[in-house]
Amino acid sequence: MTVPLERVLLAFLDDPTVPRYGYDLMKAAGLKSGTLYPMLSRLEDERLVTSAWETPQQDGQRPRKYYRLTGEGIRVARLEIAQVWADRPRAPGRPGRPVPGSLG
Amino acid sequence: MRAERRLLRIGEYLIARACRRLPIETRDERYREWAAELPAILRDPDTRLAAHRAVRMLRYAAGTIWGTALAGGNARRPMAHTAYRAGQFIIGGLVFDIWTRPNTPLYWIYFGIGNFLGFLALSGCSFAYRRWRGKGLGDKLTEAFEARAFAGPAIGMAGHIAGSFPRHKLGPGYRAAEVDEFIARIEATLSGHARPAQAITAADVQAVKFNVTWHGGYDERVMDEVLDHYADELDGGLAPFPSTTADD
Repeated sequence: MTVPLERVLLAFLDDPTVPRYGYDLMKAAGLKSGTLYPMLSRLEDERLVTSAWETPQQDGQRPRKYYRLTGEGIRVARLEIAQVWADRPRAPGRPGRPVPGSLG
Repeated sequence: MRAERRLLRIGEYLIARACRRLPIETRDERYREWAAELPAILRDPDTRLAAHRAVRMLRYAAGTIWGTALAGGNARRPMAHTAYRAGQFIIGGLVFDIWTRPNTPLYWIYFGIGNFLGFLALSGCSFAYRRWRGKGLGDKLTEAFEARAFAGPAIGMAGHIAGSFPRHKLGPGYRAAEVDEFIARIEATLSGHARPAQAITAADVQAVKFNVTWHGGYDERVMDEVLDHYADELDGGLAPFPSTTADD
């Protein structure tokens, strides 16, 4: 598993019930949009992530699309991350988790 | 809020450019999704400075272009081409203006020299640009391979970008047809469609040699990186994500 993917999964797993917007995930995972979106669409193809449009707002803003892990996605993500962390030799610094607010 | 609207227009333009590379079925939805994030970034309460938010928004929009760079299409080329010609014209014209006195018999000769120098300068710039971009695209390819290793061979690199790896216009590069054919065979092996005699092993990938051409060949550094990834994949070093083999 790649580091960007690990970060995205961690961001999702922070609270798997909360739907996340793309920009929100970028901030949480510290990734660029060009990295995040291809990854999300592949996760979606794998049915690990599901997306939905938010209901249109009153103020004329465009509806945003949000993403959420599926049940299978939560299971696989937890398993994978546990495995990665178990396999990882004790490296200096903490694994994976990005600095809050760091972006691209 | 006129400045905000103008910024949004720029962001939307960038996203529209990015979406042009996507397959037509997904284009519209992607555009709506990404464009809807722009105002949210501009009003992000976590970022205090308005200028900072604007930069983030533009970076987000530009990032989508990088993200779609591998999806095929040729949006990059015509733009670079137009800029190249326009630059040549401007520089050529400048030299021409400095050197000529109107109504001299040498008028057209100076015009020719000016344009030639402009052409040389621009060729140098574009050469440097291509070297730099070749490297950048290499990084993108690495990312794509990682994503692919995760999703499994369902994402065919050859299907995405055959014939469109970065090329050297002038200078040594691998012969494109040979590389394309070799990659097609790797893809066939990975997807299990290769006949046993045609199947390729990681050792084959390590040992393969391509003929060099001096015009229009693929950038060796990028291709070496691509081939290294394929070797890893054939070795099973980049195993697909478990869900692709799940028993459900």
